[in-house]
Amino acid sequence: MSFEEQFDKILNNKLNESDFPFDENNWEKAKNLIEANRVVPTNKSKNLLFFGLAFIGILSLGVFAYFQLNNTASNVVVVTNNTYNDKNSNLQSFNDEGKVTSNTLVENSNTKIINLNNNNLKAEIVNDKKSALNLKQETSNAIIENKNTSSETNNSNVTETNSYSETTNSKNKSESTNSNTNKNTTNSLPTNTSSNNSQNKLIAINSNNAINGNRMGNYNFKNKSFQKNNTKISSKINPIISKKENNSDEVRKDDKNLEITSTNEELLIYQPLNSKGFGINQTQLNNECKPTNANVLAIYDNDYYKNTKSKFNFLNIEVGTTYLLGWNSANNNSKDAVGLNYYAGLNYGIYINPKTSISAGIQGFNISNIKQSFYTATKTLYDFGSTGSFTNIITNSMYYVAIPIKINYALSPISKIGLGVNTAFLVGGRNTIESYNLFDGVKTNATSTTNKGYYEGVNTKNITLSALYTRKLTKRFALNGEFMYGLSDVYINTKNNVTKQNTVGFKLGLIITLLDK
Amino acid sequence: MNIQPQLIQLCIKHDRKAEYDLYKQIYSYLMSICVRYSRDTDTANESLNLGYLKILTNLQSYKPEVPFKAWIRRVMVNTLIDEYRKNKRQKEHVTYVEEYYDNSDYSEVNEALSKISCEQIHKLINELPNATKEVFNLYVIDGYTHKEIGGLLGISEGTSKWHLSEARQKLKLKIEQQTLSTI
Repeated sequence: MSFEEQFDKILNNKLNESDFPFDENNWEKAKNLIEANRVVPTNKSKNLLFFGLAFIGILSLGVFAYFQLNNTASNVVVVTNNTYNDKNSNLQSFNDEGKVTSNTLVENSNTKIINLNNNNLKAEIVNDKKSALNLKQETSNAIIENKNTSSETNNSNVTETNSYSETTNSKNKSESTNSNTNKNTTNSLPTNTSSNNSQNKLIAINSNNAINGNRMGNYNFKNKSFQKNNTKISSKINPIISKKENNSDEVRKDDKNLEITSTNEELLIYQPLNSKGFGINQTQLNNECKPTNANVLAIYDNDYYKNTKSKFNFLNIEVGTTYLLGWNSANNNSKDAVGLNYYAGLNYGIYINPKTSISAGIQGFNISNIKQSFYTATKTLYDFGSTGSFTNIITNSMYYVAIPIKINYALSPISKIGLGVNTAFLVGGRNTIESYNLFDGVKTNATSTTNKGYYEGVNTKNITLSALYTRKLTKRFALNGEFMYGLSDVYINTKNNVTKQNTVGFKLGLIITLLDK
Repeated sequence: MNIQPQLIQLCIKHDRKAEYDLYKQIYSYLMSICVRYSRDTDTANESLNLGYLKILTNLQSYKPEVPFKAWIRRVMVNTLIDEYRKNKRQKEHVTYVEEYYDNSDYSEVNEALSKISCEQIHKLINELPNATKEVFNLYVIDGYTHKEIGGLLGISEGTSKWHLSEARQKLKLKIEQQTLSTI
């Protein structure tokens, strides 16, 4: 053993001899440390539980909000800033996308007709006294008389949404009578808003809710508080009285009054029931038809893009049809490839700024309806007569895979325009090969076969420019219209084929948004 | 130290009393390791608690065929090395030495060493530079090879040898000084 090893051994032995008395305080620290570390899994599980519950909650809220917004968006009709006179008044209402739908109130004496286009809703106010809804204004001196009649649809398979009501502004009493003669009739009665005072602002409440069976809803209310100050208003809707008529009606009287209050001078939104409106009783109608003070117009105002969180990207699926205008055939002056084709694709885009986005994707489409041959071979043998051998190749359909690149500019939250370039590559085709012999003008041995693939002479690239317009239908769905102009020649020009066959046409497609945030 | 398997089983089941008993039984042994690697008692206590926590956490993976003492020593040393790595602010300035020959005379030193107390040796070891102390502890006390030490501390084998030699020299010098001062 060397001295070094001996040194080490002595040190080792000395150190191993060391004895350290147990320190109770240190155990307390150790215990705390152990407990702290053992709490972690519990916390994790609690956190997981918390996040799980939060996720479910948010998901539920999201689903609820989605349906709620959909219902609201599709049914809300807002009339704002209308000065209403007895004789010359115009109503403005917004459809579910916020577009003004030219609702004009035409007045002839006491007869007014209002057409409100809102999904399935057609509301007419006619001078018909068959049904009505009474509206009494507690805070108003004017009493509106509404007499609404629901229409009947005899065909049980057809659901028709009709609304009839009459508004008379000059009378001091109101009567309402609703009648319904067919259980399958869907009656949707709009709220007729009227005012005696030309300075009053109008709220158009359009009930898009149909009441199945003998139930019908018709709400009229008049906002009398649109004064200079924000006086709280109160409107009461009298119970709907349905008189039994014919054999199937029954009298219903709901003694609930719907009180509508609002302090918003500018806007009052009436939120009706779901668009289908089946199976909803009057209580539900009363409960659900509550006005809100939300400023819906804020969604559509100029600050929309400032107020909303800027989005980063989007992903959508686009499917649709293309109508090609065709091209002049090589053999004659007739048009070829005219007709409908189909396309489908996937687009991913990013927002350059809140209004501008650029997208790229992959798309498949076809060009069909081609009847003219792009290749013809003839061979003539001269013997005792002339025998001609002919071969024609017609590429009936061509299939492309394309990379569409688009740049879009949002004109509004629901509509945008754009330009695009579509570079397509031919991946396949369906051809018909015709061959026959012509012996002294008599056609013999005619055969026709089909195959797949494409031949030389067909351009494998197809570049088209497009101008597009997209209109959002719902949060997820949008309609896309596109005009396209092909830069490339579908067939490579030869001695026999000198015309240009470019794809010019229109696209109409449905865009399904998968991601937009 | 005689650790009963039942005690280990109870500790696996998070029995607090068993954990306390185990801690009490192995405290001195673990502390003797920690003191060598740590600068002061407080740090040694912290390291011990961390090591004990690691022992408890990994108790399920303990195999009875391995001596429990050896196993906890390995766990404790690994914990201390982890701590050393964490606390390593900057790389130690070391000189790479391929071969190191120490021709010092240890005969007198060894005699002096056998006379000094354990606490004094601990104190002397603690006065060594960190890396040197680590290598010395690992090699001399805990029985690691230079290759293993190189792997554990992230240094080369030669550097580990250099640290060991440096530790021996410094300890020798200090022991000599201490012996002279006592005389």
